[in-house]
Amino acid sequence: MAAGYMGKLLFVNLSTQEIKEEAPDESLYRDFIGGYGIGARILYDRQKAGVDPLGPENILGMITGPLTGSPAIGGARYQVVAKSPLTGGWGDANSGGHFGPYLKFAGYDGVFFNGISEKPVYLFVDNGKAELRDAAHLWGKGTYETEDTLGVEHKRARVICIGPAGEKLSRVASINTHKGDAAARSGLGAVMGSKKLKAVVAKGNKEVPIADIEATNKLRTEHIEDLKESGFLERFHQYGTGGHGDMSAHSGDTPVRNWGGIGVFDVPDVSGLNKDKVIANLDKRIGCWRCPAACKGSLKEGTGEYKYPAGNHRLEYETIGAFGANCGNTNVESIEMASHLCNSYGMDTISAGSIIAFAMECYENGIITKRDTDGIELTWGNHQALVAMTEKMAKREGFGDILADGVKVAAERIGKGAEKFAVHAGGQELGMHDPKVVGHQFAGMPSAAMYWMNSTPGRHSQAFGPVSFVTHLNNAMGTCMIIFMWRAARGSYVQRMMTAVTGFDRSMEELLKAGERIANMRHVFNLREGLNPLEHYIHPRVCGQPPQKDGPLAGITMDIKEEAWWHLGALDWDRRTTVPSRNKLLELGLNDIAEELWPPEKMPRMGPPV
Amino acid sequence: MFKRIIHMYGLPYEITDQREVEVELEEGASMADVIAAMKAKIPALGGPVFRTGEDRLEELYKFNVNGHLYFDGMDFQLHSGDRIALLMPVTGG
Repeated sequence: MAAGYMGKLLFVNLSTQEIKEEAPDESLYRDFIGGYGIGARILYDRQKAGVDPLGPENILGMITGPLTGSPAIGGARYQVVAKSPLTGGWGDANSGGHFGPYLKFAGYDGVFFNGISEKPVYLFVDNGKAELRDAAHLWGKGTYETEDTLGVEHKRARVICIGPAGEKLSRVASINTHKGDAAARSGLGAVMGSKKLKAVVAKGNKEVPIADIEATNKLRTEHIEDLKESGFLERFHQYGTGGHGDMSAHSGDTPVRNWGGIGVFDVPDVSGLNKDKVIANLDKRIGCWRCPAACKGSLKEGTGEYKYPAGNHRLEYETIGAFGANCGNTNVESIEMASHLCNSYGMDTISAGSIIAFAMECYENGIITKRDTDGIELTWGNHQALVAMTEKMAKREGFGDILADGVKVAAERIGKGAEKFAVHAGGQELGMHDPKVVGHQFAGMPSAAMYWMNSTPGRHSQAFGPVSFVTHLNNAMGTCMIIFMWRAARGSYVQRMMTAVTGFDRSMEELLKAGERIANMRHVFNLREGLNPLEHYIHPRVCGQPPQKDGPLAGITMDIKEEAWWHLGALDWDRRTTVPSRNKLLELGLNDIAEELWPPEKMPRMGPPV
Repeated sequence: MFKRIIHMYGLPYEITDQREVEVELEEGASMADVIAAMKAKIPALGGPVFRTGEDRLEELYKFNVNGHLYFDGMDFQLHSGDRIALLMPVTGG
């Protein structure tokens, strides 16, 4: 077995309470690296097409990568995979914190769940042993309280868990850890809730094997020196991703008023979103496992209009965007409160903020009124209304119940033409970066087609075309896309670190080929579900249809079909069916899938007709 | 010659504290002509936004001219009546 891995995966059947340990063949690790690479291969092999995402047959996986828990900076992440209840296709999400490394210290690279437990349970993974335990005392509790309670019961353990939103099967529910780090996209918290799985607790002192510890530590030192010299470490430590909410609201980066507004006109004063306002109530800076940047923050108790508890995480950019300019709101304390509600109840802040923006636009246009919204005036920028409705959504109370499954489902429930304000791609609300601001650089950069063509549509951080192979590699390695990839973007750092940690001596080309293999695995999962990304819905506003009349993005429209055709050509996927070519699948060593997708009767025949 | 107001969004505004700059240009002005005229009015743009000592954009800054984005290495011919704005690089998080 290569180093970097613990060499074991857990498989838990929640219906029968049976727990099995497997030691996968080394080829699984070599070919799919880790994270959602391994997740995609296992779900494809062990799950049937067409299963109910909230039913017993959907497999939910939590998987680390070879660099998780290693000295590589940013090696603190784990990935969650399952069929998404939000999009009906491939779902993944990831988070930092400490859980990923601790799962490896407990002896496992990943854990997969199927079935549904009769009663609420949590999985306790303790230094090479795993058992299901009763979670009746935790059911109904928020994520902070769940973490605290399990932290007392299991000293020196780390916890991931769902909150009431996941228990109540909100399709935008998240899986949380570290009191504010969330694997939030794709609605995978609802999958966990459907299985009556409240939490996973990991504890142990097993060492992650490292092939060449001297070389690995040297690479870590090189990275730290580079971070210090460039000034990146200091800047990132100070504000994290929360340092540009005001600028982005005016530059065309952040969507404004449900993707229909223009920042400089609709939120002319963005001083409330300034970076120093975002850290005004900061208590201390906190970080993921062994990260020198410590780019996150913990706030003091809210003492103004919004009384959030001490420990509420300092805002990240996506949350500022979703509950800020996208709702016409510049009151940072209200965004901190909404963020706290999402983290505590276990809900994706990108989706939740986007749902509030959708509801505000429905309200402004008379599609819903105070009679529908339990008396809440959902006008643009009304921050009290924003907070009140976020809480209702998290609890599934009143009108919040209508909203709690995302904008697509909410629009179907509301009717009356609400779908024209439901901004989503393939069922999922989009990340807070308007692709029109990038425009011509669509090859590998954010673009409308990136949101459209992604196997988890709506994701903003997985790039496009062949550049996406780098992102998939990063997510498979278990590293942070910001601090690790910042260094990795220059030179041969990834290749050197992967060789030092795993001992597999591979070129960068081979590693990128693994990224491409993962892109194909996620995609063929969706093809088997009958999903063709060219048939995904994407809201026309995202593509500049109609174009904005003024502001930074005036006049810009995007031809997403042109972008998609380029993407499909670059990946060697059919431009109509999106099926990967047989040659591509064979080149990637996915021979079994080539055989499935290209059976003999589909192959072109040579010679005279028979 | 014609006068044109160039709007600045995001970082260029943060750096200069100005939301717009009025410049005088020849019909058919190129990107380099526009940059030279802007730098003459606001020298602080040289360095962070325009390359030091060159009439070129820094990486990922761009102009929006009539709904089309222009990066370093691309060019346009600006005419009176055209809409032009200077935009910042995309941000992350």
